[in-house]
Amino acid sequence: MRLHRTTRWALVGATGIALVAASMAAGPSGWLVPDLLDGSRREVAAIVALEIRLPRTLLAILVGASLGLGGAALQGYLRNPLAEPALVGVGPSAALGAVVVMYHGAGLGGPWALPLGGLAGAVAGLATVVALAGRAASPLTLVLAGVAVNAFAGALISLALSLAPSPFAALEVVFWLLGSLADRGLDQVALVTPFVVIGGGLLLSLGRGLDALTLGEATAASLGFSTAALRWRLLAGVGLAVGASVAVAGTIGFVGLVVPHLLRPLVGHRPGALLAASAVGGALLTLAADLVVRLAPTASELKLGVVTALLGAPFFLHLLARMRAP
Amino acid sequence: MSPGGGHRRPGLGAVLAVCLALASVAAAEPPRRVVTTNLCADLLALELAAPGQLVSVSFLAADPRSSPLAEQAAALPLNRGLAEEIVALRPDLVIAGRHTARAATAMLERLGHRVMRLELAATLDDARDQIRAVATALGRVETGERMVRRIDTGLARVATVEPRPLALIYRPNGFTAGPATLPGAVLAASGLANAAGVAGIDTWGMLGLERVLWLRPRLLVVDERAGRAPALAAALLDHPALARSPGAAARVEVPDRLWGCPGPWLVEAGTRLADARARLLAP
Repeated sequence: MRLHRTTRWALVGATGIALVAASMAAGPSGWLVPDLLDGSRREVAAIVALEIRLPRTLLAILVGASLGLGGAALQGYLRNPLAEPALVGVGPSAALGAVVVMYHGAGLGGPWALPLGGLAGAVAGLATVVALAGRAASPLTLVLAGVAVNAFAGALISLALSLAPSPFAALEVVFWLLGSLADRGLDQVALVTPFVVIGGGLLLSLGRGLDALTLGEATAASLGFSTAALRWRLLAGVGLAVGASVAVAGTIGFVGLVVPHLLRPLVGHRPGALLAASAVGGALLTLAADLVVRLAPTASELKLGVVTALLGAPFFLHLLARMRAP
Repeated sequence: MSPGGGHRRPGLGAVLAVCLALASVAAAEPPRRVVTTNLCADLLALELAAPGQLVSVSFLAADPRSSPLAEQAAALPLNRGLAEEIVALRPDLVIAGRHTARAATAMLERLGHRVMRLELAATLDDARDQIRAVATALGRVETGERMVRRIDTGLARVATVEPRPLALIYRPNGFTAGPATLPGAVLAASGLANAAGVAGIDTWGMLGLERVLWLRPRLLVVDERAGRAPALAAALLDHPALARSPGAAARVEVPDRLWGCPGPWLVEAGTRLADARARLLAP
């Protein structure tokens, strides 16, 4: 399907508007529009819209954009199609950082400690994987390093929650490993926005460097892009954007893997152009997945990571199968 | 196990208890070594047993978050409801819950121990029956009757019928208790209508934030906050939407330990609810 560039972005914009509208209107207590028009119900409907559904919609956009952007940046920098925040251990490490701060920090440093914990965890996880696998490692080495970091971080999350003083903590491992946007407030949106904006800006600024890197490290260096500088910006950007997102929404897998792959053909296979496109795509996919979560007729709400994994895991298997084929 | 001066409580009650015990002595000698393995059984035995009669209670009874008698319980050896630790205590009566430590309880019965099982009390009548049953099993009928009277007079003081403001028991993770539960019974006895019942929840269930807003309860009955460790489960109660919702700004703290099990603490729960109701209706 060959579409004109403007038509394509108009289509993306229309999808976005439709998803945002649906996200504001749909929820466990029904479609709000008639309630907003009914005088006796308007007050509650307005609170539901502004205090419950608006933060949820904004968080889906911020978190999804961070994950899509993080995935595209990691795939471009590592020149590896399997790089993805959750798969290479960044997500679980960020969750571990947030868990330690939240359950064992004893209110240390106020609300900002939570995204900072996620940031520290994400940077530590990513640095470990990059150090273990090396840059431009084979997909196999990268995935193995990711599996190791993932398993370790996941085990430490369970341990940290089991040792937490709250009797509810042990049950909350599901949230940290599968993610959710349910019942988050505008205060959490305010908390992550600066991290996502700064981190996202850093990652978007990698565009030309990543384009140059496709020509090889030596050529990139001759064009003035040092891999060391790129690496630091990548670490900081992923740490800020993905770390803070995970700290409020838990680990949501596969968004960062699927979105760049779906969009790569549309932007002419340039890793630089893929960054912004993946941010938009990640936001749209997460909004859509969160709508499925809200509308699915389950007794208690599904976790967001369940839906993204249902979409993403078959895609991942397909990628692996294609890589094995000669 | 009892200290040197471990006599029965003095006074008329003790005399009556002795008389009643003598009257029923033909039926059965009161047990001398009682072990309880379930929180509600622990609490009733701690309140009703004669000094020295109770040998061990479950560890839950010593946790101040779940038990109103934590200090008393901590003075006794604690068990985890495992068959081998209970056998070692050589009990002549084991009081267990219908649903807790079932394998251990069944094994104790096979080994020839006398086992009494407590159901989950869902109404005030259930609570009275359970108090009387445990008191009888312990040979402390009059102490049991005194406890029932204490609860009845205490709750009668708070009983009011109209108007009944809508209240919602709201716990971490959105858990709530409907009319057919002990907390629901205390709520009704204190002159409040149960919003969980309006939402179609009869026993225990979960209510999401949006549904709570639409129910428009005038009072949220929450667990106590002091000393609670942070968890996402409790963050739900801090959601700004709850504070802004019309009429749901009023909150009253009733800790779970005050109405999880039958006992005189139900009166304290009812009094807190009735006070909150009075504040709500005050002009």
